Amino acid sequence: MKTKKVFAAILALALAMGFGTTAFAKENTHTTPGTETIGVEGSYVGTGNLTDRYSVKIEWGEMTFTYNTTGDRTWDPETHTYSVTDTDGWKASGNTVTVTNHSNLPVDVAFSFTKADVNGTYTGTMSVTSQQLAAGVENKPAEADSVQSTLTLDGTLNALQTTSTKLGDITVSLTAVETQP
Amino acid sequence: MAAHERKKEEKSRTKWLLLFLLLLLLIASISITIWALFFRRVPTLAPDYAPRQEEPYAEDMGDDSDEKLTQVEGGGAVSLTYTTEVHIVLSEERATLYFANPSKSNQDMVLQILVQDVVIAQSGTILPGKQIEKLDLLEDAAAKLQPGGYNGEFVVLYYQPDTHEKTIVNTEIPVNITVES
Repeated sequence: MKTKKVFAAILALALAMGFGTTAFAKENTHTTPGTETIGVEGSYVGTGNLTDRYSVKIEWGEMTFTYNTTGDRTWDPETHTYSVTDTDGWKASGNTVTVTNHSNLPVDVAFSFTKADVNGTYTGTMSVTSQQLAAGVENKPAEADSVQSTLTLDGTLNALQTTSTKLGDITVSLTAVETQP
Repeated sequence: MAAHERKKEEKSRTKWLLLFLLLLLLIASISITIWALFFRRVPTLAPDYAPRQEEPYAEDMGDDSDEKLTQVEGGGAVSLTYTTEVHIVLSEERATLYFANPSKSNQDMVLQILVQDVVIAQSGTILPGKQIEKLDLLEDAAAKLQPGGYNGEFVVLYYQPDTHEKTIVNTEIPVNITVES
């Protein structure tokens, strides 16, 4: 009789534990009847680092500037300059610089012109002085962000400068964009 | 007799004065020679023509199959790849960096590293398809640096491969320089 009672108690305990286990499983996997949701967990494990490497393309035209004068030039002994007519001016060819960002990071691009030590009162201006280029998008090199800047000259060139000479330098600055942590 | 003595004394004084002046002149000329030989700062100027010597540390990038960039006549098209971290070991008088002129570029390049507007390293000619990972510091450059961090700059100069003339466009890239003894 006693053995029967002990056996019944063990059986009851086993059944109770079995129900408990089922209850935990149900809580984790079943949300609505007939629908099963399986939790998917993931984490990034890797030994290699993503390398930040900049890759930028710069293209420019022939950058030829000619100062055209249509009227007579008269020497002014007071100012030591030639007087020129209002129709005179600069004719430019291939005066555009294009920068394209193929990096995996954004880049700040700036353009500037520095006049060479040449006789003349001319100054140079870039149409775009600075612009941020977005980082390249994976698998889309043809859609890389780019910017164009055109150089224009104002003022005059010394009338004696009849042969081709270097008028200045264009500097393209490529600065890393500071990102917020 | 006294007048003769005075005259003799005066003559002797003049002689000493002359000797003293000559000695001063000698000291001044020795000092100038020592300064000119050992302490004069010789500015490093960007060459107007590409150096005849190719950069000795330049290595093949292995991208010969890449198609050349389209370039207008008289213009230029370059692609540059780089990182903005430079490491300098003073005892080795060498900078570790990454800079490449990919095969698709149409211009030769020269790389300068500047700290506070002073050129501390300058490469030889880096042809298209070449990359560098180290660069020797210029003579005396190590003496100007101390262990620590510097805001430096890459200056990239482009040269026409046929005429070796410097082009109108150049590039400036701010870099972080870490110096250790």
